[in-house]
Amino acid sequence: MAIPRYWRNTQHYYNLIGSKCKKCGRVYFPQRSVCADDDSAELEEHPLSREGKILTFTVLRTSLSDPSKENTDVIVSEMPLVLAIIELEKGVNVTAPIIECEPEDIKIGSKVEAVFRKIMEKGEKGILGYSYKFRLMR
Amino acid sequence: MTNNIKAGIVSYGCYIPRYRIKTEEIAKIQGQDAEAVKKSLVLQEKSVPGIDEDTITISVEAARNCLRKTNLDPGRIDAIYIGSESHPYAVKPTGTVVAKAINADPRLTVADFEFACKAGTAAVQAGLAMVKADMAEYSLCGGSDTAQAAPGDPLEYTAAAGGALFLLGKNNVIAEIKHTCSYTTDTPDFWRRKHQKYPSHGGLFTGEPAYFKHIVSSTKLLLKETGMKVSDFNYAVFHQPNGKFYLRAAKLLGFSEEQYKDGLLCPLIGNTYSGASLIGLCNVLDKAKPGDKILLTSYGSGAGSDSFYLEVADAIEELRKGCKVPDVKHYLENKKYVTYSEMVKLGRELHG
Ligand SMILES: [Zn+2]
Repeated sequence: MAIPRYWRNTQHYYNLIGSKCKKCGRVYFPQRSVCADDDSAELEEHPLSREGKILTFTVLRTSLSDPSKENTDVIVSEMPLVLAIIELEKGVNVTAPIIECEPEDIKIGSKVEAVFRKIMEKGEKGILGYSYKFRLMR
Repeated sequence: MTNNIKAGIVSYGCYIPRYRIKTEEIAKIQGQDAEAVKKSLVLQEKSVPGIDEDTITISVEAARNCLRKTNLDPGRIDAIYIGSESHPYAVKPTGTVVAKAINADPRLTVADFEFACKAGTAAVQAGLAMVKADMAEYSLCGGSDTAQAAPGDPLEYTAAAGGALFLLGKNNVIAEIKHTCSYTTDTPDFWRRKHQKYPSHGGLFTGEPAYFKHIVSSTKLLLKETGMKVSDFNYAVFHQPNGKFYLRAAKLLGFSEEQYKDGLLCPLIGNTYSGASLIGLCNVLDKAKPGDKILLTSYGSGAGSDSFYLEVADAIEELRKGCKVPDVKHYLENKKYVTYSEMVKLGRELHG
């Protein structure tokens, strides 16, 4: 991921802040500057809930990371990686890893909460990327 | 070294990673007698950071825990100072990411601090000074670390991860910082040269002329400058490179078990370096009553100690009311043990 693209998204990566159309109330995450429903440009920042529930998930057992660090972006993640679609509020879903759990602990409908973790290293010399991941609520 | 302007801790938060490794597991790899190591270090287990955790993520989690206890607008924080010896970047401050992740207003000052294991208390002193000088309405400061140890080094038993941050200000203070002082010398007990992955240390030289001399001298200086006696304090917290050093320092200074026991977490989480004495303070604040007096002395190799005299205020009851933010006990109880090989896998960064 190019640095400007990562940097432009830090507000949504770090703080789960989306945007809400003032005209129709539709919430966008990641943020949008124009509403897709009514073309309104009147959108305001909208902080999402940091808690949500799992709608569906998959378990990845093949490493996404690159131990040889030959690629520019190294995805920093536990393995196996549980990737889930999480509903944060009605109509607003995010795709994110569920960490600190065994895949068999996860069920559709499980409650999760957002945590702040490292997601990426741009090789040995590049920037570090941080974002939300989720863990089961205890 | 302090003026009469009243200021102190408005809120506090800590974070300890979930993974733990038992001393037995490391002793097996190092070929040592686990019972002997446990006894000599007064240590059962230590915390291990996840593969995606570092000083930045630990600081953010601690900062969020700290702010969730208050309803303070993060825009009112004018300074963020974070101490660590494991800042993920050599150049680009940890505090810049923390500021963004708590939605602070860019109209603030940020700097990272370094002074081995006392970088966190050095940051607290600087943040307190900013508040007392009216250069900051609130400051957010403290320390976090993911400590590194070379495989096979005795430090491998204790080098751990965790952090604690404090919101300092003049209003709604839950613990006033009544006094602080420091004691600093040029003592080469533990160091890491530029571009080296792991620290080096002077073995036994880290004890008498280093840890004990500075902890004792700084604490005695604080007692002298405040006119307080050891018996005046309800709690005492010291830096804890291992459990044994902590207990010996506490006893050398004449503190009783009742005073020092709640500040000692090293036997359960290891040495969290810049976080160590500050997480101990969080555990004390989780339990303290209004009017309680707390003494804290940190230690950083190189070498120096910072001492603090705090007095708990009535506002602590208000802060605790209905508080759902994880306390130290929560982090001590929520743990998962890993094996040595799992630790190496999680620590991809630390072990190359
Ligand atoms: Zn709309």
